Amino acid sequence: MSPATEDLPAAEIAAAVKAGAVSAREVVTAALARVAARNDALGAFTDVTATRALAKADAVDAARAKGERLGTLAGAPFAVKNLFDIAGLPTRAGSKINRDLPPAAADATLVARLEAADAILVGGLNMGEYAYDFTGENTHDGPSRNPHDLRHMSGGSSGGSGAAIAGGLVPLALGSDTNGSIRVPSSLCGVFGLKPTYGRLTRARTFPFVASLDHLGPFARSVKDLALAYDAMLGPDPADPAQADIAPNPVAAGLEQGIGGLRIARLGGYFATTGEPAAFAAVERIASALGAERVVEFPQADRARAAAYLITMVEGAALHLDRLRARADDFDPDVRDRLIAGAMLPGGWVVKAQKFRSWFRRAIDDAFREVDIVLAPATPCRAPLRGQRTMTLDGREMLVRPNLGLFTQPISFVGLPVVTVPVWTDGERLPIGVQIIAARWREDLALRAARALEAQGVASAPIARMA
Amino acid sequence: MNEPAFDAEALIEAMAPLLGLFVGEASRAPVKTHLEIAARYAALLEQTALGDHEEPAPVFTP
Repeated sequence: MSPATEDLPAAEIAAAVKAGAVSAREVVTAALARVAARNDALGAFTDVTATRALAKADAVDAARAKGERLGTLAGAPFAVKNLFDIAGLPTRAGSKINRDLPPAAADATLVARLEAADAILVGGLNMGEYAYDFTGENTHDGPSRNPHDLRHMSGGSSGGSGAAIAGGLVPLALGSDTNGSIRVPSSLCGVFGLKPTYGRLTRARTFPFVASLDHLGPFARSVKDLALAYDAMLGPDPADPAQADIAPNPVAAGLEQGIGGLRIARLGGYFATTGEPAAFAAVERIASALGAERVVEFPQADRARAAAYLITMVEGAALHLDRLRARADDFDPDVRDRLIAGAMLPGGWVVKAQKFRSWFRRAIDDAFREVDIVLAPATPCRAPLRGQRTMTLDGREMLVRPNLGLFTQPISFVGLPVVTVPVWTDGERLPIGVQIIAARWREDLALRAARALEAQGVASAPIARMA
Repeated sequence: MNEPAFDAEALIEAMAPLLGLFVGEASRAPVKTHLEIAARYAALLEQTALGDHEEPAPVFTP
C-alpha cells in the first residue's frame, strides 16, 4: 500500500511526506480520485475543494523542498461536516435555506488549525439538516450511506463524516456532537470518534444548533490520528465565548501509556437496558479486554436524557424560529416538525432541565471519584436500514430518529469526553460502537484506553470493502 | 393544587398563531407526537426535587 494510492492513516501519510517518500500533491490527488470514484455510492461529500487542496499540497511540498519543518499532519487530507465554515462557500449546515447565505469569509478556526498542522482540506461533508438528526439522511442532498452495507444508515447527524472515514475517502474528518452526532455515526460506520469535553475546542465559525450542548471533534480510523488532530486543534479562541478557560492538554505523546492503574467500570442501570443484545455484548467485550469487572451507575440518567431532549427542542427552535416562519416549506419536514414543537414548549421546562444539569454534574463528579473510565453502548443497535422510521427495543416500538442517541445523550448533557471505539463480530457485516467515557477534561484517559483496545485488536476501523 | 393536563392539540391551536407559525395538515400529527414526547420528559423531570437554590447550569460571566 502506498499513500499515493490508498487511504493510509494521517500519521503514516505525514511520515511519508516528511521523508519525501511521497508528495502531498500525490496524496491529495489520490484522495480526490477516491472521492470521485466512491462518493456517488456513499453520499459523503457535498463539496469538493480540489483547487484549494492542490494549492495547499503544493505549498506543503514547497516547504519541504526548502527544508522547512512540516506540521504533524503534513499532507493528510481531511474533510469537515458542512456546518464548518469553508472560505468561499455558504455554510449550508445540511439545509436548503442556508445555501442562500453569502460565502463564508474565512475558515472555521478548527479548519485553520488543522491546516496550520499541514493537513489539507479536500471538502465539506453531508449531514442531517441543521444537525437535528441521528440517521444521516438528508432530504436535500440525499442520504450518506453506510460503507459497510449501503442499504443501511450511516448514522447522523455527522453522517458524511462517518461515511468518508469508513469508505476510505480521507483519513480524517471533523463533525459536531450535540447529543451524539459524532458517537452515533462512529458506532454505525465502525470508526473511531472523539467528542471532547464541552468547552474544550473552539466552535468559532461553525453553524450552531444548541449552544448549551454543541461540541466539535474528529473522526479517524486510528486512535493516534484522533490524538494528533485533537492536539492540533487545542488552544484558546476568544471567538467562542463558550470555550472554557482551561489549559490545553496535548495527548499524543502519552497515548501509549496503557491502562495500568486506571479504574475502569461498566455503566449499569439505564445503560444496560433498552438495547439489542449486540450493544451489550460489545460493552462486555471491551470491559473484558480492559479488565473492567465493576459496574457503576449514573443516577437518574433517564432524567438526564429527558433534560437534554427538552433543552435541545427549545434552543433549537429558538435558533430557527424566523426561518420556521418565513421558509417552513424549505425545511426537511422531519426536522421542521420537531422544531415547531420545540417552539411551543413552556419556558419553565427548560429552566428546570438546566437546574437538573447542575445536579447531574455533581452526581457524575461523585461517580468519578470511584472510577477513571466508564463504558457504555454508543447506540442501542447496529445500523438500521435507510428509511427505517421505527425500531423495537425491549419490546417497545419507538422512533429511530431520536432514539439512536438514547445512550449518548445523557453523557454529552454534562459534557464528558468520550472516545467511541468500533467493535466487530464474526459473521456480522455491520459494527457497533462502545463509548469510552472519562471525567471532564480527561480526554487523555479515554484516548489511552481506546489506544490500548486498538493495540489488542479488540477495536478497529477497517476501510469498507465496497463492491 | 391542579394537576397539569397536557393537551397537545390545544397547545398547537393556541401557540401557532401566537408564534406566527403555520402548522399544515401533514405536520399536525408529527408536531403533536413531538409535543407529547416532550411532555412525558417534562413530567419525568417534574418528579425530581430540586431546591430553590439549585443554580441552572449556564451561568453568565460578566
